[in-house]
Amino acid sequence: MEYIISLGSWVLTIGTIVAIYCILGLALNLHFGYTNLPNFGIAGFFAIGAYTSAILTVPHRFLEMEIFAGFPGGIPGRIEAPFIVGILAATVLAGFVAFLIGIPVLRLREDYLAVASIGIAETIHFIALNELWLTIGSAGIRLIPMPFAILWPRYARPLFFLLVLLVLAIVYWVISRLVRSPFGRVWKATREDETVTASLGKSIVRSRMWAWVIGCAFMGTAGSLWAHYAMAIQPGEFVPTTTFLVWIFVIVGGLRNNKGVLIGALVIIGLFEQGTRFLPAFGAPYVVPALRLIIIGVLLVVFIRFRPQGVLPEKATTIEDHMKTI
Amino acid sequence: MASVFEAKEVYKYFGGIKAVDGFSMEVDEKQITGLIGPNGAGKTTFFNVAAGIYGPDRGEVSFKGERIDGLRPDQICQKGLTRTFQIARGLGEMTVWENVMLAPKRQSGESPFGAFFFGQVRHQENEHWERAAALLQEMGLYAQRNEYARNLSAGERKMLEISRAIMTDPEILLLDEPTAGATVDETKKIMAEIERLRDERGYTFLVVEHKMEVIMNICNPIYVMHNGQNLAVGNPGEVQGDQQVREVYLGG
Repeated sequence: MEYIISLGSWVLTIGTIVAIYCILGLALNLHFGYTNLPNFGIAGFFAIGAYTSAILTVPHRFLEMEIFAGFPGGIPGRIEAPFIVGILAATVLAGFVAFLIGIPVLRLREDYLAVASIGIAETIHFIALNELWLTIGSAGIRLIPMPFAILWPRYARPLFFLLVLLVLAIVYWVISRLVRSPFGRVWKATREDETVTASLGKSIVRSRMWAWVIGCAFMGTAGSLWAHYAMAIQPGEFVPTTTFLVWIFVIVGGLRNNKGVLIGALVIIGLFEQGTRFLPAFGAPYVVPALRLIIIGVLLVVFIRFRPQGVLPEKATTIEDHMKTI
Repeated sequence: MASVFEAKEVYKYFGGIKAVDGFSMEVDEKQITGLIGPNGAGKTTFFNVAAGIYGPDRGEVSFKGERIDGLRPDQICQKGLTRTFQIARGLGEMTVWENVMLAPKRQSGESPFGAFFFGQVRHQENEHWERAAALLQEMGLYAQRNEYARNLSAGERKMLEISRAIMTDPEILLLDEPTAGATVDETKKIMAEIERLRDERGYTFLVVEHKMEVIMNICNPIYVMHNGQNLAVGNPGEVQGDQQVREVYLGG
């Protein structure tokens, strides 16, 4: 019985993390798979979402923790907004920041955009590290409330898992719908050839900007879910490694295929990155954890060499199917 | 006859290269106007200036009496001028039907919010597909509608590009070497299609070619461009009889 309970909580833990990563992966697929915007700044928008939600919702009690003796005091712990406000604000703010950044950055060719986006994410990381009044710096924000925890503490984790699944379903549906719609065609055309697309009367700037903003906003949503799940965040989590993990599972799962992204997240994040976290040390406590990331790296190389289209490649929709589903 | 498209003294230099060097032309309504010239004469650069990919260094380009130089390519297309490319630029990783359905202007589903007005999007998609399907049938591409564009032959890609351009409902179509890379049969078919579109639908065309024989039969008037400048203009007979044109084309 105890075994079942611990297995259950293991599945819940990993399931929640995988579902949050799925949202990041779908957003990246919208950026890179459908519109050819290589976003290497995922961690940055993830951080904006997480911090926005955390700052807005963390209870005042947080400021009374002993570590804050003598702390000048800032914004966190003064608003105590409910979760729903946190997640919506996280989404909107991540999208808005993406819009502002997008004005100069989206003019760049894709390779330069990739470099610029890493820079943006690192900038956001350092803001989180240094703007103490806003983010408390390297100590991070703790006591972030998990929704349902006060009402039904016993079921908070399973309920939160369901909530994350619900958000994932919404994000999946919205992105799939957009990609299938006439607007999605413009995105794909932008990816294929900008000059041709512009010559057919489509504004490239508008097409790229919307894809960028929508994807980044969903990364913010994922950040909010992460903050409320982990209940504590600190700047060290929002580093390029997080970004690269998302890239890896999207490439392995199947760029340009949303189902492939979900499979990629399940395999890479679920089985390797998280699923093996609690493996016994087999007598070599430093080797096994390090091995996990090595395996993921090797897997990436194998896929890029032998199956660059991923587990599930892009599937062409026939016009007949399109007319039925649009 | 009213002219719909006019270029006045257009200059476009790239460093020391005078790609277009004071070229002028007019295109009359419902005519197939030809633009010929040897390789490197500046035809494609002129097209790129006309379609907004480059702004001219000097000179004016106007469409229906309105200046269009300096506008972006998408704005120029919205005004009713659509161009195709010399090397057929299919949107390769998109199906044939996606290629043609991309083109119609003012699609309500082309915004992140508009995409969620299901009824309206469905209605418009049906309308556009009805037109597109008929067009693909005419062009002989209907059977390949669910293929990726990259799997088509060179001639088929040219046909697809012309179909896509037609789906934008242009008032004038600028075709850059519509038969480049096409077989003899495909060339005949493409040319016949252009004539038919002019006769049946009243389209205006400006066709660039460097193979003279291809457009001698269907274009009138024909402008001859050489070193970025006007060399001659006239009906096919006049152009063919012009001493200077013969020199440029046949080396004297």
